[in-house]
Amino acid sequence: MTAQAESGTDPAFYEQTWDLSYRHALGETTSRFLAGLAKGEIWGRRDPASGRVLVPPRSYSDRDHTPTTDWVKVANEGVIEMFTVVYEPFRNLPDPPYALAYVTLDGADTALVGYVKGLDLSDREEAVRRLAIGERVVVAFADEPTGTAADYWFEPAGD
Amino acid sequence: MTTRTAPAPIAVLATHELVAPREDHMSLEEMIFACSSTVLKKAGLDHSTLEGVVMSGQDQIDGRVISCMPSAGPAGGVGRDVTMIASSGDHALVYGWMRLLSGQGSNVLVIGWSKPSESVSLAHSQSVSAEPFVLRAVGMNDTIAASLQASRWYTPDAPVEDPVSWPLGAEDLPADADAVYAAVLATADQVGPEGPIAWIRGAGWSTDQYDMGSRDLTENTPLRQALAQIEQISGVPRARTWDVVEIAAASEPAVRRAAEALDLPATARVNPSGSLRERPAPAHVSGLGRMLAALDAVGKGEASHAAAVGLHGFAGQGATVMVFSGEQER
Repeated sequence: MTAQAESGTDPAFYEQTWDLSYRHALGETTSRFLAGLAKGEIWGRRDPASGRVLVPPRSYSDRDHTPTTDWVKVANEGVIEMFTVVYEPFRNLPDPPYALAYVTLDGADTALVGYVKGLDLSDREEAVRRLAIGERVVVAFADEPTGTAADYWFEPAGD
Repeated sequence: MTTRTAPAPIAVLATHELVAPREDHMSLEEMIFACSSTVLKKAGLDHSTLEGVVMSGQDQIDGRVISCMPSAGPAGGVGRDVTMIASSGDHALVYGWMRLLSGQGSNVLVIGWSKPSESVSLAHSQSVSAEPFVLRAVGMNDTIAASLQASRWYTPDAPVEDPVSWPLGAEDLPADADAVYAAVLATADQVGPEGPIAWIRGAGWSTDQYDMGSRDLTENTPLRQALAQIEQISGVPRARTWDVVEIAAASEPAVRRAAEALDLPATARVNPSGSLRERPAPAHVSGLGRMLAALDAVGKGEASHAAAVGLHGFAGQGATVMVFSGEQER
C-alpha cells in the first residue's frame, strides 16, 4: 500500500493502492472450455430443458435453473449479434480503437464475446459496415495459448 | 401469480440529495451524515425517533469494503437496525418499503451513495464487476456494455458523431457525480397533518441473465416482468395514469426503449428532471436518484401519479419500478 497525504487550505487527499490478489477456482466446466481453446476448439453445454447450447459453457442453465448435461462442440465461425468500436481509452483495456462483438457460433444458441481483429478501424464507416449484425466471422486462436479466454478472437469471414 | 390485496399505504415523509460533479471538500462519511441529518430534520425525526436504516453503497467504486459498518454512524444507524443492500440503490427503497409493510417498525431511513471521484480509475474499478473467467479476460465496463446493447438499435449507416464507443457518443451516456440520496418512509399513522410528499403505490423488480450473449437486449425483459409484478401484486394499473416517469439507464437509447416498453399515455413526461447528462448521477444509485425525482414531481403537485424506473447492471440486467401518488389510495 502506498499513501500520500497533502495538507493546506485546499482539499486534502489520501491516495491508496491496494494490491489484492485472487486465485479463482475455475470449476470443471470452465476448465474444459479453456482447455478446448488451447486446441482450437469451442465447446458448449446443452440445457436439457430448452435444448439450447450455451456458449461459453455453464454447468447450469441460469434461465431454467437446471444442470446442463452433455458437451457440444460448436463451429469456429458464426454471426455477429452486437458489436462496438471503442474510441475512448480505458485503463487495462487495449489502446483504442478496438472492436468487440458478441457472436453466435454455428451450433450454439447463445453469443460469445470477443475482440474482432483484422479490420482497418481507421475507416469508421467501413469498419462498422463489416461489423454489422448478421455479418459472418471466424474464430482465430493464439499460437501460444495462455489458458485464458484471451486465447481466441474473431476475424471477418473471407479475409 | 395471483392478484392479491393491495399493500398497505406507506408514506414518503421527506427526501434529500447531495449531488456534486466532484465533491472534494467532504469525505464520503461527511456527505452521508449531512444528507441523513437533513432528511431526518425535514421528516420531523432525529436519531432518537429513527427506527431503522436501509443503505446501499458501491464499495468497489468508493474503495470501502462492507461500508455499512463505518457508515452506520454517519447514517444515524448506531443503536438501530441497519441493513445494507449489496445491489442497486433502487433496491434499498424497495427494501425500506417492505420493512414497513412487514410491520418491522413505523419509520425507516433509506440512504444510498456513491463517490466515483474517489476512484482513481473509475473504468478500472468497474471492471471488477465483470465475471472473472471470460468477461474480465476480454474487458467490460458500463460504457462498452451500453454500446453493445445500442448496436442492436442502430443501422451501420446511422449518423454517429465522435463516438465514445460506437454507436454512443458523450451526449448519449450518463454524466457521473458524487451523490448521496435519502428518503424517510413511514406508516400511515405516522403522517402529520401536513401530509407526506407522496404515497408508495407499489413496486416490482426483476433480474435477467447476467451473460449478455444469452439475453435479447432489445426486449426489456426485466422491465416487463417488474411491471407485471406491480400490476399483479400491488394492483397498480400499468402506466395508464402516470403523469411523470423518471428513468435511469446506461444510455439515452436505453431510456427511449424503456419508455416505449411502458406504453405511456401521450401526455406523460419522461425524465422531466433532466436527461442522463443534465442530471448527473453515479450508476449505482442513479435509479434511487430518479425515484427521488419522481417523488419530487408528486410532492410539488406536478404529477398526481409518478413512477421511476431503475435499470441496473451491464446493459440493464435488472429493472426496478416504483409507483407513487399524491393521494392515499388502496
